[in-house]
Amino acid sequence: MKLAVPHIGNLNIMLGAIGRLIGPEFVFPPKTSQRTLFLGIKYSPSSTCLPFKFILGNFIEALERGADTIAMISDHGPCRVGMYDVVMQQILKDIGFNFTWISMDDTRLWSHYVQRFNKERKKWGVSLLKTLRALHLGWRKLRICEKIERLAHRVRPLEIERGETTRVELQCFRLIDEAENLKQLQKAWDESVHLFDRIKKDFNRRPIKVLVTGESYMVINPHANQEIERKLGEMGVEVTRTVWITQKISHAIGLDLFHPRSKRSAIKASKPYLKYNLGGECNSSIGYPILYKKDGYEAAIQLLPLGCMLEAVARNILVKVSREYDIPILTFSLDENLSETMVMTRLSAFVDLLERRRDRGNVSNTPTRFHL
Amino acid sequence: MEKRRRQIKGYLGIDVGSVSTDLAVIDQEGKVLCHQYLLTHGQPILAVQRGLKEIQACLPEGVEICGVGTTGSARQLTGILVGADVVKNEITAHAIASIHFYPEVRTVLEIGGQDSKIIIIRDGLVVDFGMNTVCAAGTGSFLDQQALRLNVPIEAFGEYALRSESPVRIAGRCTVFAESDMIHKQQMGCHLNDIIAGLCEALVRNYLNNVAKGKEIRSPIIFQGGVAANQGIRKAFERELGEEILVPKYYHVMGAIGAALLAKEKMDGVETQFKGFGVSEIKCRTVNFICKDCENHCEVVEFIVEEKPISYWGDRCGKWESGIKKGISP
Amino acid sequence: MALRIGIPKVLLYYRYFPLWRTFFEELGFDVIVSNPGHRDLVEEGFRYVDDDNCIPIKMAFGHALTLRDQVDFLFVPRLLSLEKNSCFCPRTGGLPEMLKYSIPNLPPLLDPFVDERHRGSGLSSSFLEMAKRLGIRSKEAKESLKKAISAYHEFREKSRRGDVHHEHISVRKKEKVSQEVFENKIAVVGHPYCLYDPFFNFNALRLIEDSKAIVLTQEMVSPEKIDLEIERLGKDIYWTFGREILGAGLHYLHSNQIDGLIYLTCFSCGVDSMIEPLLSHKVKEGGNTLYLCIMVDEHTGAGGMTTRLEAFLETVERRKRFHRMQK
Repeated sequence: MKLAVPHIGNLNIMLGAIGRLIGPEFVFPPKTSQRTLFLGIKYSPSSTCLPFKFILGNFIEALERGADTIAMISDHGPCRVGMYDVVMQQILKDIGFNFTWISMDDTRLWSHYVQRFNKERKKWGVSLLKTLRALHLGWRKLRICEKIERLAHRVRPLEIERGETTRVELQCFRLIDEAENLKQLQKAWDESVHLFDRIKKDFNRRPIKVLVTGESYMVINPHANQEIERKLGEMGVEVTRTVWITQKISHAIGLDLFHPRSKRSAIKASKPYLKYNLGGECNSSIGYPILYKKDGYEAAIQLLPLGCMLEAVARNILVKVSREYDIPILTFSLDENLSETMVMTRLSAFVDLLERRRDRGNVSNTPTRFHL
Repeated sequence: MEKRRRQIKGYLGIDVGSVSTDLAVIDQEGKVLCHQYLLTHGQPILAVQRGLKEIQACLPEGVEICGVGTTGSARQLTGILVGADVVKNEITAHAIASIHFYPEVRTVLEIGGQDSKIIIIRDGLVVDFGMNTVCAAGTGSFLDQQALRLNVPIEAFGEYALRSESPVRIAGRCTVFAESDMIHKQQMGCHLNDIIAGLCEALVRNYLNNVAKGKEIRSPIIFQGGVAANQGIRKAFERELGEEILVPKYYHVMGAIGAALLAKEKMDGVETQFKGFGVSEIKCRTVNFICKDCENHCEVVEFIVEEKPISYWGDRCGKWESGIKKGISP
Repeated sequence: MALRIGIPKVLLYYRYFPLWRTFFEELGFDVIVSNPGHRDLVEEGFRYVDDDNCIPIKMAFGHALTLRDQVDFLFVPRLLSLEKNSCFCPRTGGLPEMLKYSIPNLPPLLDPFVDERHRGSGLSSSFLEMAKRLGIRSKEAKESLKKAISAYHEFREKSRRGDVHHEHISVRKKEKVSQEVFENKIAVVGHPYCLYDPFFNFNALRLIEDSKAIVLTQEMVSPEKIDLEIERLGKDIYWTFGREILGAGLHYLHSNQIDGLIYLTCFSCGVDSMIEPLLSHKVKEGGNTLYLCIMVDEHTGAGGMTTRLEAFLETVERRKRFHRMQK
């Protein structure tokens, strides 16, 4: 089995680690590029959303590289991601690919997948201990990747030479990907911290803090959001985002009960503005800016794929939140037609707005808190 | 004995958009000394060079340029070409200029050739803004297209529109769709004045529905940008909003004035980077290439003066920009 | 004077109005349905809503505006799901908030939350709770709801027989239709608000009927037949309307009794963006049904709609003539 998964954040580092230790063999699509998007657009129905196009492009490129099985999550509405599987299978078959499709459906219980995985594991002849070790290593790697991203968010606005943080960040990801066991991983992390330490920084700067919220695929993936985090960082803005892969996983298995910035608490914070949970990231997109305001985040940027059903609701309601909590919010509906120039103009105008606002002393200077 | 020359500190602002290139020079008090407005014709470098020559010719005697700001979609390129002290986006530049002339302003409507924006200002501070999305709805090119079609010079649009008694309702947001509806109305025998007035109303409606959606428009309202010359549009705005619309004297070069003001703000005892008006004579060009060092495949822009690359931008990792990698493009 | 309840004539109105009206009228309220009369008035509302929303949602804003000063309450139900295994588009779930926060001075909203997938938020409990808020005894409300539900079933039964398309669409009783005059059968599928809202589709159904064709809609296909088609597909569709559209479309396709199939959809509809490729793929596989998908967006004008429909109907006609000649 040569398994293909879409390119989502640093998920491939985690899966790669597991795959190398116990299997299955993963065929990762090449890093999402213009070609990926081009392929996605070419074969997708025109009115689908941007994540569909990216993911379809990923699958085409993975199949070209010899993958024979595709794993994709699915759910039970209301977002259209639950329908991706049928439509994509149909398109890929029409192109002429042969493959097996595995849908990870949320209508089944987790135990179902555990059992299924167990069966596969026995087939591979891997002991339970080894499996748990591999899963642990993969999970740790993902956590550390996210720690590095958070470090980069903080360091980038302080860097003296533009681009240094981005280069270091990439190097760290490589170090972590190469680590083969927990010991090496610890070393890679120490090395990463050291690398970040060595970046020349200007500590006199007082970066503005901006929260990136919205639809998960758009928030997690730099290739989908035109690297908005990097762009903001280089304008001297400290960013954080609301959606992390580890957080999504722990939310799905109910392990985020006590986390102060969990999706659960964001949904709770959105209650006064949207009484009922509509699903997806709709409610948490509304709640997060309210929560993060307490951490000194002065503004928020909402990202949504054009035509997203859930985030469009959030967008209209965020206007109200923005007014009542005095949080400037900038929304980007992303599709393949949005040019980089337009994004840059809006971003820099937004940052100017925030800077001038702060110069007036409209903003209280709350110390940063981090929830690593 | 030689007479002592009067020295005036001047600040130059350059706004290079896709349709027009504007330049303005202001003095220490923010008074406009001279300004130029020319068409970009898709060649920003040439337009800036020509503009510099023209503005040098009309500059009052004794003015010394002490700071330069650039704005507009080609701000980065222009900034490197002339040696700018400030490179700012056009939204901020327009807002600064409006606040300078009208400290009380609360709404700025700006309609240019290919983009249009709305800026909401409260207490002299930008609090919100909006820009048109992908299509040309609510921008100047909407009118340009129809002027061509009707064979009426765009400058005369305002006059025609003011003569209309009952504007025709023209549906459609994009030029293409509006055009088919307009042809339909022509066939129905509608008067040219009414059609032109209808086009102005359609533009205003599209602007309000698209660019200004969900924004709180409060007076005083300033209307600027190239399209502000059109009295028909101004009247249509006044009808739709029920408020008086002010058009500043320098409505078409507000972006450049804003950039100049930003330069003035920054240059407090600092030496300017300005390379002088001689820039208009040098030979320069840009080259785009794709850097294949990593999977990112960034499109890097190389700026070449006298066949020597002097600057790069567009790379994500910054190694071209910071000079780690050098040399004429592969 | 009785309290007036305003109902915007948008979205789920086109499916559940008989239920709503009966419920409120039985309780002694005056029901006022929005009637903008002109598309311009509908478009007035577009100013209040972002472009990320579909036209039917945007139209709700225009309708709400026209009702604003006429009524004591605005009824904007928050219908998430009316069946155990399916749900509606989430936009309808957020509509009450979107209206409330965008349009100033709206009358108070009545927004019962109905989600049959979870206990305690079913149709009856949420409607009874709403009635309680209006100061109505639960016994009275229960009776009205019973009548309302039977009125709804009656309406559904009627539309299944093809007796009523809807109040605005010409009611052309099937019995009167003689096969000689109305030769062509055109199946039209899409969300009910895309099919029946004349402002949305520029009276498309009327246009088809005027060309001497019989319009068949998804409402005329029984749920059993839809279930059968979806079962054959092998993937459960979790959108109520998406399921219905696809099931009915496939039913018509397989039944071989139609001359053409039309899918009416709106720009940026998330449901249709997934359902339409599935349906059009099956049409292509079958190979002998004429198919047209019309996507309505803000640029669409009456002219564009007429041109496309006329061309399609003309093709249907010509193909039929051609086949007859060959025979």
